[in-house]
Amino acid sequence: MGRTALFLVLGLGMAMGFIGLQMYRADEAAIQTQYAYLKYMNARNLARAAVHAALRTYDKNETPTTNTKTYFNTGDFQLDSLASSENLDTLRMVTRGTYAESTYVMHLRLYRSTRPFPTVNAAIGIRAQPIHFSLSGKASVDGRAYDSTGTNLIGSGDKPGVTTMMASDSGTVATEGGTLINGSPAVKVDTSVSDPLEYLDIYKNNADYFYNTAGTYSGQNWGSSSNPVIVYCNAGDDTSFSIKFTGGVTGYGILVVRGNVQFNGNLNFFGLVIVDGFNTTVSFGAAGTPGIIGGLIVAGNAGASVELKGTGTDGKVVYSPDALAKAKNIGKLRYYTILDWYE
Amino acid sequence: MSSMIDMVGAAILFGVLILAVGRVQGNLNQTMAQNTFNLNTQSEAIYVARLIEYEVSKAGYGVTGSKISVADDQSIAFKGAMTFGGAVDSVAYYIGEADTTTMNPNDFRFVRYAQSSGALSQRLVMTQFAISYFDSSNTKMTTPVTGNDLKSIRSINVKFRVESAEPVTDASTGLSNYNAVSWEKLIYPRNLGKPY
Repeated sequence: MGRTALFLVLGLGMAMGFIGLQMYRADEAAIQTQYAYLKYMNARNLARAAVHAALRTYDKNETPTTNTKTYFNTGDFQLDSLASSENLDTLRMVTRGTYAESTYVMHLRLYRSTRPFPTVNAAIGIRAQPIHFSLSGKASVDGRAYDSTGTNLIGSGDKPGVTTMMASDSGTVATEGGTLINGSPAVKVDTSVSDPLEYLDIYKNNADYFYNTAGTYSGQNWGSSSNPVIVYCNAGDDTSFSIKFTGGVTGYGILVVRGNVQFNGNLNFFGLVIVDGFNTTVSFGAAGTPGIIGGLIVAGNAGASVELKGTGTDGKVVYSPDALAKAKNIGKLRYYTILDWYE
Repeated sequence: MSSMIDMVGAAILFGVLILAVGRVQGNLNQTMAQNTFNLNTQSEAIYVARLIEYEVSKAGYGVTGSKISVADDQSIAFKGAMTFGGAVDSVAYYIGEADTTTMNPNDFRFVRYAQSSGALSQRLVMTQFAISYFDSSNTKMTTPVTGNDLKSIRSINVKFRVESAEPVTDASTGLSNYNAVSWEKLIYPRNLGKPY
């Protein structure tokens, strides 16, 4: 009897164990099914992260590296290959995301465009009427096309030195500037000067340097020729020059000033300068050799004022299509159109 | 006499044990059935989810011209190459006839049609299949989307529900129910924004 009971209990135990094993297998299979989907989703998200990382690298005016793994969220992603057209307009990339043993590969072809950019048809384009304009000392305006350094003439693509919205203002500028304004022609009426207002929010949201406090700034370096940046100054409408740049300021890209600004000392900006406000005043001080290589757009209400003084020998404002092109192609101002996307 | 009592006692004990084992076995079988239905439901849901994600995300890939031809709330037809650099195929999803082979009263067949392979009517115990469409401003479009509006579709929200073929009885409450898995995803087929 005792032996029979023992066998019975043993048999029962084995049966229970077998049933338990079956249940465990069913549970495990369910978990594996769910986990396989999770792995697939994570791998896909990582492959997408590789695309975003590559595009953000372009935003910084850098070239993404291929076959370098980035570890993220217990997985990794990488750019398998990257090919671009000569002018970097068309990008082909293959990205890979790996999570556990799941791998997800994407093949895509993108078209790289630039956002709309203000049309600059002169060394100084004024979008306000009537205006006050004065030019004194050795300050000058040159609408001839220079290279991106502002030292060598290209030989073609010359623009007017100054454009205004109305003939009477052009007359004032021509009289005031005389031979200190150069260009093709020196002064011209142009009512098509871009309204910078429609671009300002984009520049504000993408600004690399933001000055929102009134003051005098010196010793500022904004970007470089190969890495142009966006500088946004919110000067307000204070006519006492709430933002003043003095001495040792060098910048590349786009400089936006909302309100009034005074450039003094050794300021050199390569690219597009936009000064926009209600009663805009742009003043180039007499000291040093402040200058803009590229183009300047001044917009504001009636009475906007441009005042150029100077003791230096360098041109105050020089038109440079090359410097403007670099500003236009700032990485973060580019956007991408999908030509093909396979995932 | 004492051995007689032993035998009767043993028989009663054995009977109680057999009853207990039977009860445990019954519960275990029920749980196993539940687990199996769970597994089947999940597997089928994941199978459909991956199929839809894989194919819908390729809508418009390698296609010039019209990319989506049918956009209704329970059916969709689109074109796209399903392999990298491959030939463009026309794919459609729609619900088929009610499935009378299961105990579930609400399920219907899920049909996937591809021009390259024809229609495949699948018994997945699907009880819900709904599609909605959104334009570039993420505004939900009225279905059916037709004509030129088809060009405005930028994202597709797919929702489905898969249930167990038979009801599963909860051992503790005794209530019968159908195991179910719901899946919903807003898919942005990247090629839909390409110029026509």
